[in-house]
Amino acid sequence: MMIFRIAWRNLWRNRRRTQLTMGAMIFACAMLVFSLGYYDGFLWSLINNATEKENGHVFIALPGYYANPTLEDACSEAISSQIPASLKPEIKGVCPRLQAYALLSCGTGNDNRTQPSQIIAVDYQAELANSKLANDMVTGNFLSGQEREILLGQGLARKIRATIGSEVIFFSSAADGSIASEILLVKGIFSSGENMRDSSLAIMNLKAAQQLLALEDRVHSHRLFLRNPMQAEEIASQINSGQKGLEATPWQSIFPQIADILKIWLGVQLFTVAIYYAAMALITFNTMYMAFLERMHEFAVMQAIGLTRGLLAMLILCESIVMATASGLIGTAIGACVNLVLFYYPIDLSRWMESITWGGSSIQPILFCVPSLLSNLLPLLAMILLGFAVAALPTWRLYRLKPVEALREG
Amino acid sequence: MSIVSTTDLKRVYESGATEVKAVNGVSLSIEAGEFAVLAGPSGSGKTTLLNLIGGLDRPTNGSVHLDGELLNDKSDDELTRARLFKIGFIFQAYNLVPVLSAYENVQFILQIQGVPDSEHAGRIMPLFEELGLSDLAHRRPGELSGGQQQRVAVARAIIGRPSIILADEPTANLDSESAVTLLNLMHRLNLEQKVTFLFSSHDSKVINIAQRVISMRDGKISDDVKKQQ
Repeated sequence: MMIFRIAWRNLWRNRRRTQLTMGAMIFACAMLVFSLGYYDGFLWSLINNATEKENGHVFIALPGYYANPTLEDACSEAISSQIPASLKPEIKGVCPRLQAYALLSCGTGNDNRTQPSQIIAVDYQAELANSKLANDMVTGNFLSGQEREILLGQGLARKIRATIGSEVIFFSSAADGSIASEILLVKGIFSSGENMRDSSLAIMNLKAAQQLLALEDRVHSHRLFLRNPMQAEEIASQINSGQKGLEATPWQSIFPQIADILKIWLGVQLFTVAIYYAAMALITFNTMYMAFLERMHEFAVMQAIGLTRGLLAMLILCESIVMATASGLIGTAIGACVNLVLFYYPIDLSRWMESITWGGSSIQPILFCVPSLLSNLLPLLAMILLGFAVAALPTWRLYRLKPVEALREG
Repeated sequence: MSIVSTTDLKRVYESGATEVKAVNGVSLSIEAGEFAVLAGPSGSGKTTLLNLIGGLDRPTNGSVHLDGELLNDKSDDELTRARLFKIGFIFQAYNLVPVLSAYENVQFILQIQGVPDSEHAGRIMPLFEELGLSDLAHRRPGELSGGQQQRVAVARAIIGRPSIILADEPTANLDSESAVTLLNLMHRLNLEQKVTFLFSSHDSKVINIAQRVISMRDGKISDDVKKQQ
């Protein structure tokens, strides 16, 4: 107890030096927690952007549909009974979809503009609850379940010069070979940030599409949204093992580049910790070693009056660990708070930066962090280890200290 | 009964090509309850001899026995343990732990000796009373005068009930009045509690009060006089 008391008070003998060193350690720790949170946020966004608008975390369809989609390969709209009960708690929601190609026309006579388009038909309520499709609206509103409404990508709307309230002619062939045509009203215009997608995509209500395309009660796919996207492979595998008529594809198979990043993620995090703390170790070591050298005489006196080298080493270790742990805790708390704030209130940087597309996903210019146990614990544990590391040389010197020489020099 | 005995004790320092015989064949015995001083000019080997007796330094030749145990063969940690339980040190520069209060400086010894916490106050406070430190117990060394610090150092040296107190020039940094007060105090402890003291000093006040004066010159004992009490 007395050793701990001496260690604590020693830290405050040179108050300014300790404050500056701890300040640097706190800053490094907080920045590291923030960086790891930001990396996690970046990865999280990458996965979510890739999955939440398109295929979900697990894509379920008839076997072969994902690789070679055809209008006729539709499965039952009712999927609930086909998912094992044990998996249901892991599933946040299910979004059924139809996918087709059609010609969309706007205007009449010489002013007619027609574009081949990709149509996705969605259950608007399921999408509102699970996906981010509705977030992309730039004008107008998202689907509301009315029969003849359609949403156009910004590029597509520009091409056919459609605006909110415009009438658009839908023309395609149905699954039974008949002609599917309808006049739809533009309810909204969206921008996903991917120009290619926005210049050819339109979204309509599932029920209307099922009628038009002669696919009553059938859909092309079900997108499962999971509570933890990292479980997608496991859940897909369980569905595949239990179902002969359906094929479940996890997002890792759809976006292998993103999945590959995940595999090296822990390594990246450890490397980041190593870089931050290598610099930090030098600063802390300098402080500890200077403090040690200044007190050689004092250590010699303590040895003279009966303090063993083991207890003296404990004293040095205590000082170093107390400083590192206190800094680590404060730094982690600050970093975790920043991450928490940026998790709930991400900062939109789109005014200064543009989104980019990579690996089948889009990277949005948003400062977004995900607080996780690992990103908080890793810097804290590394900081405590740093405390041990910087005490190593002083401890070694202490073991070689000859009290009589130090007393004479003092 | 002999507390400390040395036989043909030598300590040679090598400084480049030259050898300095700081202690050169000293045979000496200190009996329990003695109040002795190693006297002599600077460089005569007093402090080196004190360090050898206290196990802070190792002899080049000869032997040191403390309470009948040979110190030469002990490891560094065993010597530290021997100092903790058998020797009390008083230094010229007081050398109190600056971040501990007077009370804690003394309590520190009891803690590392493993004395139960419940006994600390009962042992420290009467001693502080005797040394006139009761009102200063919670002050840190920086808040005490030299004389007060040295009294705390005396308390620290004797609290662990050692066999002998080794005091290296304990009055050198004190003014005359404080030095006399301190010496009287240590003398009283010697008389009343039979605490054995061995000083190194060239201060006439210490030499005058000492019961035995061991004079040193060039690393050897030149004279050893026991005064009649």
